[in-house]
Amino acid sequence: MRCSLDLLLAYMDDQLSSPVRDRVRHHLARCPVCRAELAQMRAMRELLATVPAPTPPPGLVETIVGHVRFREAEQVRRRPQVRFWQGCFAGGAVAAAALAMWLVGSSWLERDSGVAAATALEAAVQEHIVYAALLETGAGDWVDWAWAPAGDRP
Amino acid sequence: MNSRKSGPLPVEELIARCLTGDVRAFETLVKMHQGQVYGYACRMVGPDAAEDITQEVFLRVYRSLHTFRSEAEFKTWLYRITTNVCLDHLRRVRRQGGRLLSLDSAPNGSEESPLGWTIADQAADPGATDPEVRAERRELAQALQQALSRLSDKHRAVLVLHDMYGFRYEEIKDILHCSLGTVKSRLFYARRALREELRPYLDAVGEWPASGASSAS
Repeated sequence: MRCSLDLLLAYMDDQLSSPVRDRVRHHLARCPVCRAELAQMRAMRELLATVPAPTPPPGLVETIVGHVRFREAEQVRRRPQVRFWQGCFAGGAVAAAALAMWLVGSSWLERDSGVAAATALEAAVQEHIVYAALLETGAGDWVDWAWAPAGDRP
Repeated sequence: MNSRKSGPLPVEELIARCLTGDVRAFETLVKMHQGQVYGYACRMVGPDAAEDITQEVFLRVYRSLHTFRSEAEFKTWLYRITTNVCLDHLRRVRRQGGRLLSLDSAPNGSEESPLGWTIADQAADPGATDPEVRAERRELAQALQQALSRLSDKHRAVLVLHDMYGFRYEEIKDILHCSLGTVKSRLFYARRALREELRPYLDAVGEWPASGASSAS
């Protein structure tokens, strides 16, 4: 087996299968360079593992929890506002619907009155045509002109 | 049995309570994990930004607790969020041309080294009271932080998670969302680079006997 840092580190982390581990062990018994390498790597790993954990600054938990409480309070404070705006929105929607109904209704009414006027006008025109025809054909002698419009009388 | 009752609530129970709006449960969750998040952030971005990072991480956790799947490990999920916040921060600072991982600053002007290796921590070791030993350790901590800061962000993340926090390859794969091969390769390159940086300190390590090598851990 040749010298391999990769295998040495895997050996150190106990990541090798049993046969490979045995081969590395045999190699280490004969290779002082790899033994020194492994010793250094182990020393470094131990150094890293034994560095004491930094102590969090005092009051860190209180600061974090304070932020969370503030956030919760903000949410509670916002909730009625949301309801208010929702209420405004709903009220506006009802008012808009009522307005729309009124507009549509009145336009229908206007349309109905327009139809009535048009019908009356058409009837008047028809009546004028009839009286004019009677006069032209000479049949006006048998007509009671008292009922005819003033402009159509002979 | 009594100790089970009086002990801290399991994480799953705390999360369930948080989801009902129980801020006290969230406070317990933060107390339980703030050390891990702050420590990891210190190693990833340096102590100056670690406090802000920790706050950001827990606020993100609170906002997205409803997306946490109970079959996943909470710790893995928490470290994934922390890694993402750290990497986002590093990218942002780099874009703005800022300085990363301040090497010579100690938080609050204390005697703490950049790695958080405090004199108080060393006091537990009898050798640490010796001014010379203290100076050596301070120098080593500085060298270590400097060496860590020279690694790429992703190499540093793998190295810190594996060699400082003891996560397994599989867990790191889940935290970093990458393949197992990527984890192994990053760890290999990170260790090799760190060893080169720390060679002056490691050369003092004597050759271990051949029999010692067999006790791989």
